[in-house]
Amino acid sequence: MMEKIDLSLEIAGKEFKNPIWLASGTCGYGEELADFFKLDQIGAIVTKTITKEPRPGHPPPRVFETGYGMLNAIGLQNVGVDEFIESKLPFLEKQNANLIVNIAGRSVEEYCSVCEKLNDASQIISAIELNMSCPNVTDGLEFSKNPKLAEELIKRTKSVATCPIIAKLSPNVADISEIAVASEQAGADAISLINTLVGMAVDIETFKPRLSNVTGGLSGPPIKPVAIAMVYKVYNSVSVPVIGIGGIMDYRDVIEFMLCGASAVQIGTANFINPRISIEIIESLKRWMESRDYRSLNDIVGKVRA
Amino acid sequence: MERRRCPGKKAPDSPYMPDIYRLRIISNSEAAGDAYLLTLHAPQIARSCQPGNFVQLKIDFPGGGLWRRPFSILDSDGDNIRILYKALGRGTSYLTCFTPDMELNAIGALGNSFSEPGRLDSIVLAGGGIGVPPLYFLAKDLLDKGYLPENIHFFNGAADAGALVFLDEIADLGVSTYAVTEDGSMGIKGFVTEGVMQFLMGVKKTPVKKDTSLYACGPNPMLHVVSKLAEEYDINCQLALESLMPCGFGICMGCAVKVRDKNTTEGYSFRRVCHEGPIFNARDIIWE
Repeated sequence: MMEKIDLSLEIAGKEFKNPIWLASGTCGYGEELADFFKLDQIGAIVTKTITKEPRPGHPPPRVFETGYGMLNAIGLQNVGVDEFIESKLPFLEKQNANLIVNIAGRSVEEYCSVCEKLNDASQIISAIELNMSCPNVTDGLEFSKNPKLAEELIKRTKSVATCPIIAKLSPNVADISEIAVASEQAGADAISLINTLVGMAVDIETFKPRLSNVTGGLSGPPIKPVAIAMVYKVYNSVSVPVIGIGGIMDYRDVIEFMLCGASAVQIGTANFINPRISIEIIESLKRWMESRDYRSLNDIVGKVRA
Repeated sequence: MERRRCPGKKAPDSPYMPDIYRLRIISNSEAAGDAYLLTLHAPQIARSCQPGNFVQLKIDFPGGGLWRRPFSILDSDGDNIRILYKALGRGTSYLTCFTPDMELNAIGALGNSFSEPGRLDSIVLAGGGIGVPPLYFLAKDLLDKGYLPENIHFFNGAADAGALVFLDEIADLGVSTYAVTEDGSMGIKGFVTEGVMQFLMGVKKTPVKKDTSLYACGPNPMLHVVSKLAEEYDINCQLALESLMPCGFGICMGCAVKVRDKNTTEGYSFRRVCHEGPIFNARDIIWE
């Protein structure tokens, strides 16, 4: 019975074996999670953000637990695109998993330059995800706030990159669907959302912010309803696939996202608590579909009765 | 700074890897110094863990708690591991309510281990507060490996005599044990670093030249002072660092510590306490 369930999907001509992906910044470059499961079981791994030059990231403290959520301000610590290609890609290639490379830059030119370098490896990259939405660095977020800038970024990267482009949007905007529509019109092959929500916490003993960056990005279960509302809104505004991200802890959360229009989802903060969560979600999603006699994701995606 | 994943207790062709386990509680009871001693049935971890390693425990306390909590391993015995902890936050306070035969979800063993001192070194271990466990494990391990107890000097520091954890158990190992209390209610008066400094001064005055290896675990201000002492006396020093740890196995980059790094244009980089650590050479740490 289980074999008949088809979890596969296609985005911009690329096949994904299932809709459970690992979110950028919560799975490194795959090396550590490979200690816990075979990466080829998941739908895709989205790498930690890569920039043109290496970045050291923010000083500690970088994280803080807030009830059942968390704040982070890592500051895009990464090895830079050259070192990524040299030392991280060979490992990822061996894993035989769909690979999505998340990138960021201080300017459109920087994004394009990273895309160009990744072109040499385009046969092993399923897509490039544009981090237009990191709340913790001065660059990045602007592209997600202004539809004109979003449009320019996507047009330019599309003209350079040989693999599909996914635009990852920020929830820290007045109208996320406006940015989504601009992204689609500029040629984005898919839209992923949401990145973290800007948040802050203060130590009342020392009067100091809990993070060296003062503010950080809120993630985890508390942001799920915000993410689902935004996925629902964007799904009803664009026709390209929507990829849902935000506080997913189990298969029920995945189904909620899918009912509201997500073709695939990314598991983020939950990886920190249970490194095998994505594998467990795939299995329980299959069981749930089987119990309902559903055969493919088309039976679920966008089927919310609103 | 390479990662040493539990060297020595594994077959060369099958590297030990951390895993997720449901561990049965053997006992969980009060210990001296307002601490608690937790014994867990954890055969895989017990057989492979090394001093400095830690486990990430999931404590589902009411009203919150997203992350696991890291606990340094105190020691292993057969199929069991022991953890010594203080009820300082909501997670650890709730942990005191767990009773034998209940289970805890754990990831382990995680982190690197200490480099061994020279065979004839004076070995100084400095534990501040609940910083004792990795050093106790190290002392036991060194004794198992044939290091002489008279060469091992364990400084155990706390605010007062009542807060000194595991003092008798350390003394039972046969190593030279020194209590250091801030209020002077027992042993040397002052911070644990005061005891270490007195010892190092004494070593310097002895006519027989002997190398010293220093190991420390405790709050960051204490470790900073220890690092300065190590620099002043030009001795090898390794620190077991603490940090908030969302994951504990290297994927979140949250538990960063600033270290000297000649290979970067900045001259420093951030390393993960959980993955490249928790044990670092004192001279690599940049204190701010």
